[in-house]
Amino acid sequence: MGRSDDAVSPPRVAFVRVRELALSALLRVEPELALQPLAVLDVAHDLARAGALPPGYGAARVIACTAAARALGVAVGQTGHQARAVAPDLRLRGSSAELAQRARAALLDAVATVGARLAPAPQGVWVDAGELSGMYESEAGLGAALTEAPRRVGLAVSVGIAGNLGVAAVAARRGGVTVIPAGEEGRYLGPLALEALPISEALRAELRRFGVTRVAELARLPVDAAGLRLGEEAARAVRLARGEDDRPLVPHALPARFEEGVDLEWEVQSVEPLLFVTRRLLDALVARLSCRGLGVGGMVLSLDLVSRVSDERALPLAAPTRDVPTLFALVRSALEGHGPPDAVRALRITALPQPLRATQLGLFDPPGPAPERLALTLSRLAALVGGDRVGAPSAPDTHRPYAAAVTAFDPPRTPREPGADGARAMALHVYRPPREAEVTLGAGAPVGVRSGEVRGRVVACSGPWRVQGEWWAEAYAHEGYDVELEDGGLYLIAYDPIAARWRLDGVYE
Amino acid sequence: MSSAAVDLRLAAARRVLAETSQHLGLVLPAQRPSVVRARPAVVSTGIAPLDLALHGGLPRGRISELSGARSSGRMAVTLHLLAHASAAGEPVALIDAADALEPDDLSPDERARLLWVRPADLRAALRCADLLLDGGGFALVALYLVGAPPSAALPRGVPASAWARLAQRALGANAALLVVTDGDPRFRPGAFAAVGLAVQRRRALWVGGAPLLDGVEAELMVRRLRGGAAPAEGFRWGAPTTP
Repeated sequence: MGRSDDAVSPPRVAFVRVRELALSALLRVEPELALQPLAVLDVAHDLARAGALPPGYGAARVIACTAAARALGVAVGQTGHQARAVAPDLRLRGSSAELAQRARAALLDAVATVGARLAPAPQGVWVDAGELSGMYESEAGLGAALTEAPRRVGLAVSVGIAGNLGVAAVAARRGGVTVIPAGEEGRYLGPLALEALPISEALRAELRRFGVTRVAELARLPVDAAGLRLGEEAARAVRLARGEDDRPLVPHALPARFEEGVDLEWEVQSVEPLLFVTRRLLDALVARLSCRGLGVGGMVLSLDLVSRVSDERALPLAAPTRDVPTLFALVRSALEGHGPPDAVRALRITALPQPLRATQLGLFDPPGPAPERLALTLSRLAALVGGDRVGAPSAPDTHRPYAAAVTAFDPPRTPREPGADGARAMALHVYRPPREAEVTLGAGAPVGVRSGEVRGRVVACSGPWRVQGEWWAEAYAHEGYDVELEDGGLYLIAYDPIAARWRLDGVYE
Repeated sequence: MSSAAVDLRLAAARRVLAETSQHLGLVLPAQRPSVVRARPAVVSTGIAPLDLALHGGLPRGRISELSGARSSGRMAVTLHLLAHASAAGEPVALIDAADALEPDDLSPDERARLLWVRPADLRAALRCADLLLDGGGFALVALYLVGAPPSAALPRGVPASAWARLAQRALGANAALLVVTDGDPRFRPGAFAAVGLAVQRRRALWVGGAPLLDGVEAELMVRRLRGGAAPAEGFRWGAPTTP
């Protein structure tokens, strides 16, 4: 993410805070866990131990848990052993930095639909609320909009709006939407317990030793003396307790990478469980892209195998789309066509973002498919038959017989002069691949042809039409004959001098 | 529905309205000449005698069938119909179940206006037609089933339910669906087709001393047309394209 230069202190700042980020990040991609007793521990998730309990879970602390776990007596701060003791069926997960990073990226995308000047933070995102004041009737309305937007990407947040970054972040810890009027920061913070401030546990303990338990008591300490005795963090804490924070809001560019993934709890060999996970990842990806007004122009599917090898597959799309069933069909065909070579322990999908074709149709243009609808149709077709088998036909720049390819289908809207009646030449129905043929020769020309159900005496013949080329690579040579058999069929047969065999290339239709 | 049929229905509706008003003693406002802005209900074939026989062209929202023997010109007729339909600016599509199209048989402009779909087998071809018609916006969709690889899922050919569904889709999309077959009843739309065309080879045309294949003299006929059929005149095709 790039850092821009327009760092100023806005008059009003909103902080959008993700509630229990480690848990929310996990539930974004595995929403079915929300109803189960689950606790997230403050240890890193270890892929190598997929399926097992996180390493060192016994001594690790619970940092977040679901409502079902709380109902069984699990609480934040318990050790893994304690949590398991009160709830034997409790599922324990380590916290994943990767998942948290993706959740933060999704939060940025969602909040960007409300405000433009954003600065990411470890637990959420700061928004310049000053520039948005004219767009909402009140700051509470802005807070409601900031709460609603992240729901689209599966995140529950709380919002604090205040005159500076620090106080907005403290206000957001309360839950819901908290608006602190300008100049009221100190009065709001005063009655709060010291735990409400984002300070280290060591400093908090030191302050308690001095008898400071409330923010108002901290605010009464002299800044310089606190800094001299307890360090720079204490000086910052005193200023924050007084409602002061002169840090500027430094806007960041929005994330350019769209990736979702999940570390599987157990190694998976079959395709069905992978597809089950895939659907949720695509939902999450499309939700993010929708926030940015983008579509999926292609995908890269990465499978981390137990053999420590990554199986990466590029899945091109004929046109950008946000249609999840279409994207799902594409992944399904990729997985079912070539299943994973080994058991899979993690799956990731990276979307290549592309703007959707938003085109205003002309008033006098002939009727035709709306661009977005056409793009969706093309994507569905590509998912069904493969991306390289849908598009406008094109003749590649080669003399190799019957070479064919497709290009992106973008038909011109302007009418053209139609051809005259019956002017079209006869067309060739190409056999791809060509069929093996037995040809009888007489006086150097074919007199009989036999290939499957096509067989008979040649009654008329013209040729040979010789073509050869690409001797520097995969050489080809072709001696074609137009023949009419006694049954009236008109065929194109060819002798391949390189392979020294005859083949039936097509039938004139 | 053709414009003539629309006019007839409008006239009948006006007559009923006038009679009812007279019966009830109502006075109707002065009648203004009505303007029917109906979308063209046909896709012109570009072959004058055929258009005449079909009352304008292939009907939109209906299935049409083209069948014929080998080397009778089925692909050439199909490409001609697609190229002519796309000339008006509406895109067209060819579902080529046999992967048989030679792109050089079309001009660059015709290629740009044609969506070429190459499904793997018969079942995929029907599914592609379903998707294309569901998406809408195409004037003519040609389902070329000549030489289509068989599908294990459809051992008895195309079921009637599939044709019924495609007929509904074509109606919804206001597109003409042209099904090209070799006449095998397992792959023909049968009664689901509003128009049945048949192309018959008369003779191959060879020219010159060292003979060159110059084309096929073939005849295109209307075999089935809801509302009455009339045979089209013979239609001769040009010289082949040799590689």
